[in-house]
Amino acid sequence: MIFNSLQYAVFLPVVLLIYWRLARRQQNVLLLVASYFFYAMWDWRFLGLMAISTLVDFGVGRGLERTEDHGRRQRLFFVSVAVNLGILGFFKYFNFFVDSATKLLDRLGLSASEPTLRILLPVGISFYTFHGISYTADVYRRHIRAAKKLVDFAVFVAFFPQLVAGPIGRAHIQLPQFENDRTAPDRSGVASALLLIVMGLFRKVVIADALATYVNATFATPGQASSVSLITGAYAFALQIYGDFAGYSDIARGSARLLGVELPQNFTQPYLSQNITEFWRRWHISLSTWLRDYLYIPLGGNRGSRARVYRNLMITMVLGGLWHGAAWTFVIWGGLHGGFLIVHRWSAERATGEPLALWRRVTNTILTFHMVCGAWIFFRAGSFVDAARYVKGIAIPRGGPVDLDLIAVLVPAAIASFMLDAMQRRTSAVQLVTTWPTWRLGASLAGLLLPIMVFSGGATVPFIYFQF
Amino acid sequence: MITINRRRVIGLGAVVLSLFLLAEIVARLVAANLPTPLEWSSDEAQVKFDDIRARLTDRPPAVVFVGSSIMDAAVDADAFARLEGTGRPGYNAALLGSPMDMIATWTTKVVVPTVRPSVVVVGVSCREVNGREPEQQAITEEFEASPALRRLLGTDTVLDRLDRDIGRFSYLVRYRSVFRQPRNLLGRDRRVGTRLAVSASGRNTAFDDLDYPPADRLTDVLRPGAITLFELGQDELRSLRDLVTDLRSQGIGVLVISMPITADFVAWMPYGRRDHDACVGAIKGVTESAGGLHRDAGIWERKLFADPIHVNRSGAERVTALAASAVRAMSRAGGG
Repeated sequence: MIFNSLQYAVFLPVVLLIYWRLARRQQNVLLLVASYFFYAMWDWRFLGLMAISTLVDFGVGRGLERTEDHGRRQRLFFVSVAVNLGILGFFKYFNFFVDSATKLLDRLGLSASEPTLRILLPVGISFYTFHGISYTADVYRRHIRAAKKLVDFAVFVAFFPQLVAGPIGRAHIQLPQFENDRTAPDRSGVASALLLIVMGLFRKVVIADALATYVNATFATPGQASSVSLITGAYAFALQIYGDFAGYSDIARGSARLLGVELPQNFTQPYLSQNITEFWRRWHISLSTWLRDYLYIPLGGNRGSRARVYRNLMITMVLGGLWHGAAWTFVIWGGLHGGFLIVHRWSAERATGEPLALWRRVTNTILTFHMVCGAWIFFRAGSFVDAARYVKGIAIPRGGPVDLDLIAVLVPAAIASFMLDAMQRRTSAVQLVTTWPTWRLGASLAGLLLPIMVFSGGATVPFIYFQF
Repeated sequence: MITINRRRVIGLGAVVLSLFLLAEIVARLVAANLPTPLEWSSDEAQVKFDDIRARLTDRPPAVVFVGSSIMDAAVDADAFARLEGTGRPGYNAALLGSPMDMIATWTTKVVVPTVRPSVVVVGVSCREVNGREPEQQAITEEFEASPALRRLLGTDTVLDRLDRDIGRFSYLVRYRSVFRQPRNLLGRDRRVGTRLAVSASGRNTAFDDLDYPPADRLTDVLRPGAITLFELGQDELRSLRDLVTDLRSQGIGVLVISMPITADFVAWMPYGRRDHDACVGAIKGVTESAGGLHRDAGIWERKLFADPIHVNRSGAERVTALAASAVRAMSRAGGG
């Protein structure tokens, strides 16, 4: 079941209708059943995996709460990390390592047959395992108390709006929301939640899905396309992935708000960032803060020598890349961002600290956007060879036909994306519904709904982050 | 701060409704200059479906050719009719980019029920039976989501039917697939299929005059893609077996041709010739076990190709002759 489907349009209202008639305990039971049902609509076979992860983390949390013994606490925490990373590692990286090993042996002249065992990737595995690790890490560090009720904790892990593509839940923000009574949203809360859902659908159906066909075509034949087509293809992917993922996050936040749960914002106009560090404060915020808190800081963070800090940055970003998928292209993507962050940090250490002139800020924004677009090529390409061919096609100018259709879609998509960003930057969804005059809000709503209607009805394009 | 009350909700609804009505009026005004909305997932499928139906009243094709772009470029059905000797009209119904699943559905659910041919010639290469081609699934899904197919199969959903019903009186809904393509509004390519190079008998002639690229440009012209990860796909082989079985059960003669390819294509496969031979062997085994006739075109010289898998005009003449000879032999043996 995906957000932009008829099933979800029926599922969410049915859940809401029952939900607000129940007491908190029963609400959580309903949410748990609904979330497992939501997940089972993809593949019920992997429900057990999520249940195992949940039970282990709940048990570890209770164990940590009961003991003061440092060694025992360490061992318990290790169990949680090992189980979650073990599940993630096996299902996500088994094929990758076996394929890489087979190819390596083949290159060394040692014939190795391809394995017959191919492991399926359970949807959302990267997200719910990270929910679990963040919980046990926070309990281990005594930042939060362990959950008392299994149902409350299980809902935190499996909460359906964020289950398959985030935002990655943080226990100290979300768990209390499931442990305490929730207030039904008032009229402006409902209106702002619906507006978030409509905005999210617009980003997904009108921007991301409209660009998907052209992006697929450009990335399928990087050796044939002209340099201009390759450049526009990279821009198109930058907008597609933003529309797709930010759209998902908006719908998730809107759906959760209708259930009385506030999810953290995952994007705040990332392409308007003036440097790469700022980009990572605005892009996939739930992942970047997770990596900061549970990987970068434990590695030493900003402490220690300059070389050590740079090393920490690089390790964090490469592992962040690998989190996205088991492929060398993701490792390179992470490595590139690690490199960008190191260069920015190095240059920031030498900056005077004086405010920048407008032209410098604009230049920095454009430069940052292009660095991000360059790295996206590796993220999107089917293989390293394809990515190299794509970069070569841009670096060494090549003539050929320019896909005017793509440009005709890209320009309005970019304008629409920028306008949505500007709208959300200036005012939150709640402010929009309570401050804008009726005609303006109505015109904006029609401006979102009309294109959604026009662009829906084709083949369903899955959300990009479902594969992670 | 403005309160959300009944009046504001009604006001919002009125503004939204007015703008939808305005958009509907604009859609009606521009509709005369718009192409007919696509009912199939591609221009080519739409053109070929219309073509096949148009031929029903005159001389319905007795021999149809199905497959992916490899077959699409390879058989001239008019030349085939002359070479085969019986004068049976033919039609090349192959579609660009078709995975095995899609070939089977297009053949058994669309082409065969429409034209009721006596012989079906299926063109297959190792690309169509590669189990590790992720893009194939998306193409099949898009094809299966096309309104025309869903209507034919009776798998249209409540939304599809609603779409059709609303589309009867709303131009905004009826033309929405057209509005998604800005070129339709900019006055380019208004007729469906204008950008296709398809002959009257269905052959794709786009590869006819292309020269085989030099070795260092080979991957620029045709991306090796997933063939470098080739692995015989059991689902794909099952689809082929089901297709042949289904056609044979209807008394239709089936010829499966392992399409000609170049040595360059074979070299892209992980274990080269070994993979290729295993692949052709599997196609042959599946075909014959289901009661069809198999012919392996083999590895041909580069001058007959536009790229490592698509034949040029000379190559197409040779594939056509091979198909004619095989169908003739099959007919003599009583298999179609």
